[in-house]
Order: sequence, then structure tokens, then C-alpha cells
Amino acid sequence: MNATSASLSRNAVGAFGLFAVAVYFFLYAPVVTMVILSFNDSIGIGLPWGGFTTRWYRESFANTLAIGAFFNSVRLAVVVSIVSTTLGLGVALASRRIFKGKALVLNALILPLLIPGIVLAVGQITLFNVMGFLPGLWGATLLGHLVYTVPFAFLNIFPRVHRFDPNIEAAAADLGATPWVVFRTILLPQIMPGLIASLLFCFTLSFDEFTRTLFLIGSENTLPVYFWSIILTDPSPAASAIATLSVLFSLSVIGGGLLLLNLRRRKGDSDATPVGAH
Amino acid sequence: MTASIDGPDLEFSGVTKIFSGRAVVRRVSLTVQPGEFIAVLGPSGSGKSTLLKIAAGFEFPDEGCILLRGKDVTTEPPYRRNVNTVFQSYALFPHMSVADNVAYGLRRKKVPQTEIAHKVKEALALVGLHRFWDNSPTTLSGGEQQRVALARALVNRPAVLLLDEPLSALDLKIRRRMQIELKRIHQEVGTTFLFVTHDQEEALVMADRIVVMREGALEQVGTAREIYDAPVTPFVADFVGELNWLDANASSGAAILSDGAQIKLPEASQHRRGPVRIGFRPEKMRLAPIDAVIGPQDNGVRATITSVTFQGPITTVDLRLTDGMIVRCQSSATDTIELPEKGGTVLCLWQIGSTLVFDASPTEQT
Amino acid sequence: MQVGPAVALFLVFLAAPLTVTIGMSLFRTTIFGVDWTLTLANYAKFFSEWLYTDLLLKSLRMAATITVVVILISFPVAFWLAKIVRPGWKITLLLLIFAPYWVSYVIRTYAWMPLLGRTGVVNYVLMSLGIIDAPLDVLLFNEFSVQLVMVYIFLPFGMVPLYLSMDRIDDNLLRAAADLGSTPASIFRHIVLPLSAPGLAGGTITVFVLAIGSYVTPRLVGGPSGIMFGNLIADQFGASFNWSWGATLSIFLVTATLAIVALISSRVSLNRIFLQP
Repeated sequence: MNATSASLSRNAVGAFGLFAVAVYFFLYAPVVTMVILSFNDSIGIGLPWGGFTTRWYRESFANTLAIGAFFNSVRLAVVVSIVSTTLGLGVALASRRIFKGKALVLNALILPLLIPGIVLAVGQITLFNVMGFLPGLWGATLLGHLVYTVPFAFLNIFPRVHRFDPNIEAAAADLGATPWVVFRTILLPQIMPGLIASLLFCFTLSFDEFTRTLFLIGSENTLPVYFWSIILTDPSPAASAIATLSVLFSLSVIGGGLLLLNLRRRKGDSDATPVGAH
Repeated sequence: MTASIDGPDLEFSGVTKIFSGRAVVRRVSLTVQPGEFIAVLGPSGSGKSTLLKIAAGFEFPDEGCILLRGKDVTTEPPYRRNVNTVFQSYALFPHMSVADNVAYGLRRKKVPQTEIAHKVKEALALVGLHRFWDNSPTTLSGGEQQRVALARALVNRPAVLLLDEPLSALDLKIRRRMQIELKRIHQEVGTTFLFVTHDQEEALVMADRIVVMREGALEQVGTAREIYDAPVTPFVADFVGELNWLDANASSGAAILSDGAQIKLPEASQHRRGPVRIGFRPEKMRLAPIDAVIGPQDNGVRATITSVTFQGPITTVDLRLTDGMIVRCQSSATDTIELPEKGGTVLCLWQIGSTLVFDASPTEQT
Repeated sequence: MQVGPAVALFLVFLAAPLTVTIGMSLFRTTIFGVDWTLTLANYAKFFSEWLYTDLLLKSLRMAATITVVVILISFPVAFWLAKIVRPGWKITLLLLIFAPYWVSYVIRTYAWMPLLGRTGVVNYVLMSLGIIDAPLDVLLFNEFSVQLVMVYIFLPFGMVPLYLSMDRIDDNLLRAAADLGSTPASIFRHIVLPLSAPGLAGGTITVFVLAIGSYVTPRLVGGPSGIMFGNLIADQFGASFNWSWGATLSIFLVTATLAIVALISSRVSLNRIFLQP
């Protein structure tokens, strides 16, 4: 058993466990219910149970609006995750040095985490309007997502970069590696887990983002915005089916990413082909 | 084995480095001959590591220049200098095997794959780690990691190998072994070593020449013997080994302590007049019965024993002179068998030749 | 150079929107569009009617309640995960805490509708059991349902930082304290609580900021009585089309939020919370 169990009575350990199980139930019961009801052959989103059907899924896959919205979301999330990881990496690398205004940059980076999303969203749309730009997916929405995700990218990458011994890079330079080669062969492999985590994190943040998107997207759609329109106007088990598919997609992206991270760790990594056999 | 080009391997010429208004290296000029093993010795903050970084190209001097085998490399970045560094923190690449670590520099030079394998094997054999070829450096002990770092640097046949306190993270026993090992490797490969350390014993044991630094400037350059037996400043005398200090007044070939006792001065210091500081090493001192005769080659003062500490191979005796000054005597255990106990009065003897004489400057103390 | 693009992005899309919001709040929107004469009328309007301050206070109260409940639930679970659970189970249980992070909050809000709605699972079960005759409307569309659903949504945001803080506490500290005769309560008070302060502050700030700015949950499950300040702001940019009034409301919301964040970060610095996770 673990360290603290020694100082806690058996009853206390049991109580903690029981409480935790209840919390896990609370966390999963609604979503699991929703998934089950997405197979309900009835037009209401709740009970009674009208029999098992895959009709709502078939409808969802045939729904061109939903499919279009889904691909918009995926494309946006891919761009957002790559751009914000690149920007976050830049700031994380720079944050190892002392430069003018460093504290200001780091604080500004945390600020979006401290301001309610809706405030920034309405501010951003006002700005766009004042400047005479139209809202849309690849302008306002992309920028709005980036302001939201770059801090998370930075927070995922910063600890890895920060922990990295600068002497190791110095050693590589000392052995004849140009700055670019040092970055590629030494720093990059070491911070790769942070970069992958950042890519995954920013991807799902953007893929699931709703409030900011709603204000910034204008007449276009992302999956959450489309989903919102159907649950406001016409909630049916089809909504549950779309939600289930969306959850499955997010989780498989994350699952795939975690698997990738794990494989990398097992395989280890080397700078080129290993030195010949001996 | 090193290419023998005429002239020195490394030259610092009037090198100055300023960090936020303070000169951490001040007008350092130093010439390192091919195959030499040079120790740069100094307390922390003496600028010795900065000097090494300047040689490696991690820092650039504000004044002066660096010549590497006659070529000016002052403004060259590290990756364009034919020097390699062994870091105190080892700085091994944690995501590469031992062999890949050692091969790193050769790969940067685009050496053919088969040649790399051969050279890496040779370098690992040199440091006795050929069995660890495929290991991750994180699984090795500190001493082993330091050997990998050494192999990784030496495999490139640098003009000069720079070692930045490479042993100070190791524990005492392994450090002693690595000192001998390093010395052997130096003799085997013949590469020029520039070795930075704050450990005076390490410097004495290993180096052909020692460079003592203080507050960014060179204090003395010389062989271990010269530095130890003939330090040119009280700082060097004090930093390299322990020293007993006595304040005295010199006149006509002798120095008078405040209680009237006379210290005879060595030949070279006969001319001194006025206040001086007398230094002599604890291990060069012997104790004798109070009524012993002081020989013509010896200095002698009376003192009371305040403590006797047995330390295995040596015994340390602390004494107080009649004018209140404290001195220390260290001798191998057998010599002290018939010593009087604590509180006894004895005669402290040392040779006139091993008496060091310096100006009495009020600010001088480390 | 490395920070350049990020700085540009933040100047254009963080600093500028906030500035424009402040600017916008100093004008009035009329049916003919924005009237470009400087005025504090919007601020006067805010204080002239209790309606707005009441809604702000109510939203603050709801966000505070949600935050406190989330933290109270998170603490024992995080402690259980960090210090009691057997290592073999830990990864799975952790992933289960993390997983809801990757599910959109719109979906996680929506998931309650089939449960609590008129034809929802709860009503259906209660009716089949004969406990009630007609479906209850009170399960959804009130202040309580908003708080319930938001606690549900924000739980991972409280649990994860707390867990990360507690996981870093050296087990030997707890052993040593027990060995020195501390009761579990005093170990909690003097060791666990202070050492998990960054996680506690991080979780509190995150949950509070998310809750106070909520738009989706009150809109979906709040009904008229569960409405929050974020909905009022959103309405000005939608149906009412009164942007300068919306900007004014935004400023009140962001000021109140930052004041509370400042209060928390005066105890634990933001750098400690966010930069050493």
C-alpha cells in the first residue's frame, strides 16, 4: 500500500475510495446516458426506450451540413494547433534568456487564461467590426482561437525547455554543431513530448471551442456551432449521435497522441542511424 | 599523436571580459605549448571558468584575442573552433546511446560511417568503457558519465581539450582515481589539456604548469613546485596549501616579532626593512624540546601547545606564540610520539630557506 | 525574434480588443448606429438600475459557489489519487479524470438534457416508480441546474491541478509527520494544504474564470431564473444589437473577475501557479 495509508485508518481509506467512486460515477453517468440514448428509436432525447436503432448515426453521416461543419472544425484545429505550438515554442525558447520586456510578455501570455472568454470574444468582434473586417472561419475565428490556445501551448512546452540543461546545447555546439543542428538533433528530440502534448492540447481546445467561435464565425459553421443550432431548435437523438461521434473523435485523437508519445519513449531516439555494429 | 605544428597550441593575448560593468577577466595573456597539461586554479569568481568559456567560444572577449595554433579565432563561434570541452555537469545527450554521444562530433564533420565506428570504439576503449557502447548515459555512474564526456571530446582530436572542473561533482575516492586516469590519458593521447579547478591539490597532482587566477587576473604561472615553494604573493601562498602567518618588523637580515623573538630571513629577502609578513608551511615545521639548540639553517620560536589532533597519517598541533599569534604544525604521526601534552611549551623549528617573506599590506587576506 | 509573432498576435488580438471594448463603452448605440460622442451614459445606466448590479452579484455568487463545490469535491479525490491509490490503477484513473477535458463543454452540458428534461431519464424513472404523477419541470431551467451542470463540467479543472500539486508532495513528509505524532487532520492542515497551494490557487482561478464567463450552460439549462451575466453581454451583440452597452457590461465583468484573481494571486503568485506546473 501507499505511504499515507499507514497514517490513515482503514475506514478513512475506505471512505476516500467510496467518495472517489461516487465522483467518477457523477463524471461519467451523463455522457454514458447520452451515448446509450443516441441508439434510442424514439424522437425524444430522453426516455421511454423505443428500441435499439442506428438510424441517428446513419442520418448524421448523411447530413452534409454536419459533415461540412466537422471538416471545418478539423481543418481549423490543425492550423490552430500547429501555429500556436510554433508560437508557444518561440516564446518558451526565448524565455530562457533575459530580454527586455520578458516579464510583460509572460504576463500577457497568461492573461487570456484570466479573462472570461466571452469578454475577449465580444471585444474581438467589435475590433473586427470597427476595422471593417467581416467575421469568418479563417480570419476572426482563427485569430480568436490562437489567442486562446497559445498560452496553453506555451505552458505545455515551457517546463520541458526550462528544465533542459543549456550546457548540453553548449556541448553540441562545442562538438561542431551549428545552431540549427543543435536545435534539430539535441533540443527538439528532448522537448518533443512537450510539443506533441501542445499539438494535442491545442487541437482539442480548438476543435471543441464554442463561445468565442459563435461570435467570430459569422455565417460559417464549425461542428460545435452546428451542434448548438440543432440542440436549440430541434433536439433529437440525432444530436446525441453527433455528440457521441464528436466525443469519439476527440478521444481517439488524444488516444493516438498518447500512444505515439509512449512509442517514442520505448523506442528511444537517436540523432541518425545508430553507430555501426561492434 | 597530436599534429606537431611549430609554436603554441593556444594563446590568450590581453584578454578582458566585462560582465555588467565588472571585469571578470582582466588582461590575461597566456601561452599554452603543445602537449602541456595546464591547470587554471582559483577560487570561485576568479574568472577561471570564464577564461575557459572564452577559449571554447561560449563567451567573446571585450578586449584581446585568442590564437588557436596560430590562427585568430577570437570571434569564431564554438562550432568553428578546433577545441572541445568537458563540462562539470557532463552535459551528455540524454536521448542518445553512449556510442552516439561519442560519435556526435565526428558526424558533424561528416566523417565516413565506418571510420566513425572505428574511432568511437577506440575512444571508448581509451576511457575503459567499450562495454557500455549501447547504454543510455543516464544509466551510468557519475564517474562513467565523465569518462564518456571525455571520450566524446577526445575522439575529435581537438587542438586543446578544455576541462571545466570535470571532477568536482564526483566523490572523493572516484575523484582521486579519475585524476590518475586523466593523467594517464593525457600522456597516452598527447593532447593539450587546459584544466580549470578550484581544488589546489588536484592542480598540484595533475598539471605540468599551474595558472593561479584571482579577481580575473593571472596571479602566478609556474610549475607545481614553484607555486608551492615560491609563491609570489600571499594570496598564492595561502590558496595553495596552508600557511602560518607572523607579523614582524624587518631590519638587517632578520625580522623581529613583537615579543622580541628573531626570525632569520632567506638570502633573497635580506634587503627588506620595515613591517613584513612571514609565512611558513605547517608541514615544514618540526617541534623540539624547549632547550634544543636552534641550528644555523633553522628558525625557531617558542610556543605553547593549545591542542593536539590525531588525524591518522598526520598529527596537527596548534600552538600559541608568546606574543599571542597562533601557528599550526603538521607532521607524520611517528614524529610526535614524545611530544609534551597540551599546555606544554616547545620550540617550533623550520628552515630559513622555507621562510616566505611578503610586504605587510593591511588588506591582504583571503 | 522568437517572441515577435506571439507578441504581434497578442497586441492585435488581446490588447486591441480590450482597448476597443473600453473605447466602445464610452459611446452610445442608438437605432441609427453608434453615436460617436463621448459619454459616460452607459456607466450611469449600469448603476441606475439594480437589475444589472444584481445580476453581476448573482453571477459572482453562483461562480463562487460552483468554485467552492468543485474544490471541495476535488480535494479528497485528488488526495486519493495522489497518495492512496495503488500504482497499478493510477494511470487508468488519471486518464479517466483527464478524459472529460477533451470533450466539448457544449456536449457535456447537453448530456444533462436527456437526464433532467421533461421526458428525461430522472422524470421517467420517478414516474414509473409512482413517486410522481406528472413530470417535474424544476429539474432543469433554474439556478440549481446551472450550478449542478457547471460543477460537473469544471470538476476536471479543479481536480487536475490539485492532483499535480499533491503528487509532488514527498511521501516521506507525510510519514515523518505521522511519526512525530500528527493526527491526519493536522497533517492535512500543516503539510498537505500548504504544499498543494499552487494547485489549489490554479484550480480556483481556472474554475472561477470559466464559471463567471459562462454563456453556454445558463443558456441551455438555465431558463429565465438561471441566466448569468455572460448571457446579458452576449444578448447585446445578438438580438439587442447594443454593442456599446455590451462593451460596458464586459468591462464590469472583466474588472470583477480580475479583482478576484488578484485577490487569490496575492496569496500565491501567478508565476508559481502557471509556470511551474
